[in-house]
Amino acid sequence: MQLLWDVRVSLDLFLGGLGVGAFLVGVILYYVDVKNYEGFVKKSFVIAPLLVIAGLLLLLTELGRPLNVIKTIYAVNPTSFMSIGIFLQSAFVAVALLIAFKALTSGVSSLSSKIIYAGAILAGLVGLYHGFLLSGIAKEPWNNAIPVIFFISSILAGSSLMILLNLDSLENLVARFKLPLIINMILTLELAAVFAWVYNLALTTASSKHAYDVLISSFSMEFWVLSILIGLIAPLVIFTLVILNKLSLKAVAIPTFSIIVAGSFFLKNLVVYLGQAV
Amino acid sequence: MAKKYGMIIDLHRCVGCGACDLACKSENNTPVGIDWASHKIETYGVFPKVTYTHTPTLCNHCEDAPCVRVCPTHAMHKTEEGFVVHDPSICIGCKSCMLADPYGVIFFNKTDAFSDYVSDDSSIVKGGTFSKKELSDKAKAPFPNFNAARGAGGYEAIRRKGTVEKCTFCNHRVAQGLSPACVVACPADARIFGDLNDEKSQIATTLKAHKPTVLLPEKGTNPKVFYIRSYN
Ligand code: SF4
Ligand code: SF4
Repeated sequence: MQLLWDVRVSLDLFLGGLGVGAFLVGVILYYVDVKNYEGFVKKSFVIAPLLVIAGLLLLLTELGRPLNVIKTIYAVNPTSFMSIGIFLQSAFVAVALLIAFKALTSGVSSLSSKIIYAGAILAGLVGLYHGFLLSGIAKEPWNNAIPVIFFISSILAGSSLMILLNLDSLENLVARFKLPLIINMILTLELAAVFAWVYNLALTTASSKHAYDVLISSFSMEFWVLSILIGLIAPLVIFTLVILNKLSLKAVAIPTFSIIVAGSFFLKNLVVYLGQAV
Repeated sequence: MAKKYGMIIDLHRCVGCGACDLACKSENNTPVGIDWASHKIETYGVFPKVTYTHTPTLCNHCEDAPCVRVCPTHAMHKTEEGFVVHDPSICIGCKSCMLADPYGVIFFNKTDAFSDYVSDDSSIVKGGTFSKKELSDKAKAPFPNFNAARGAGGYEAIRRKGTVEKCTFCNHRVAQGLSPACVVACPADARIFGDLNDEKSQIATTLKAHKPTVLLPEKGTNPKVFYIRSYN
């Protein structure tokens, strides 16, 4: 396998996704009840741009001529998702940094809801861009299911990270939003998207079947165990037991939300590598 | 009508000598491991019915080039004459083009090519044989068989590390009315290069007279390197 994009690209997609997810969960809580969740929202708005920037810095180290990135401002290619993504990410980072600065200096409640709305739209676009970056290259496993899979994974991982950082709000979130139920719905959606992707690979063309063969032969551990079993099915089962009152969420919250975050990395890393192995 | 260049490789004439590969290397100053012109060899079948094929390969200068589509800066771009060429001055070295190219004909410069000719002053027999550095100093060139003409039109004669490079259909030679180096070097006259839009050109008439094939037609890239007849 000629590895052109290594783990730094996976980490960019993972950290960027965490940032987008963290920001969006902050936006939801901001609009629902900013007074009650001020601390949570503030943390979300501060952490989100830092995670995206960390991912971008890692990505820069992957480039052969990182200083030339400045030229992407005028050398634009509208058919390239990377070209569009550079603008989207820059705009998101700028808006998110402004929001973070205002949240830290004047408090979350002083933020204008218009700027938060703009940030939410940009976060959504950046979240989708992460998948389109790969699907635009059109390698067999990098098909049109990837933007959906990556976006849902980012929402799951970002919100899990923020819950881990706000464990004191857990009880409130469970009582108010039926948190395990919502997370299970998103986990089920992600499982469905991943299975649609695998199904598509296994049944479509000769080259997609080859990609499927490589997935289940060379990446079976990363896919079935790390991404599916640990990252999606285990939390789904745990939250189901919580809903059925067989487990206390408090007791399992830290490991369960942690494996959701880790699973997001494993899944994105697997997809990045698989595309280059076929 | 604007010119649109393409190439035919007559697999029946090709003797598999690799002269094209070597001519390309010396014309374009490519280091070891970076082969703009290359070939693939396949042996298949069950003895005694075995078949051997030798297929010269290069950038296909595709009509619908995925490498051009994905490049974030237009560093990989198409000229009016249909050449798919690269501008290292705006390349960010993201390697998207390499990932999108289904033919594997784009190369990344991990290191500065031929830099050993600047730094390596070790010789096999001290005082008896030349070191790489001495050779390069005496030739007054980055390395002894350096082709300065490759640097025509602002293109880097030797590409520095951090960017990609690939076959340009020798556009610096074509600009002077010459054929690409691989075409000239072929001892079997297996390569025909010319304007596909000129109905009377040798390439256009030859294409009409044969049933040409292209590599990976299912990728929908519309290659402009055509293959006619077969090796055996
Ligand atoms: S063969 Fe590859 S590098 Fe050449 S134009 Fe086609 S896609 Fe681009
Ligand atoms: S490596 Fe350079 S030429 Fe290739 S896609 Fe990236 S910027 Fe464009």
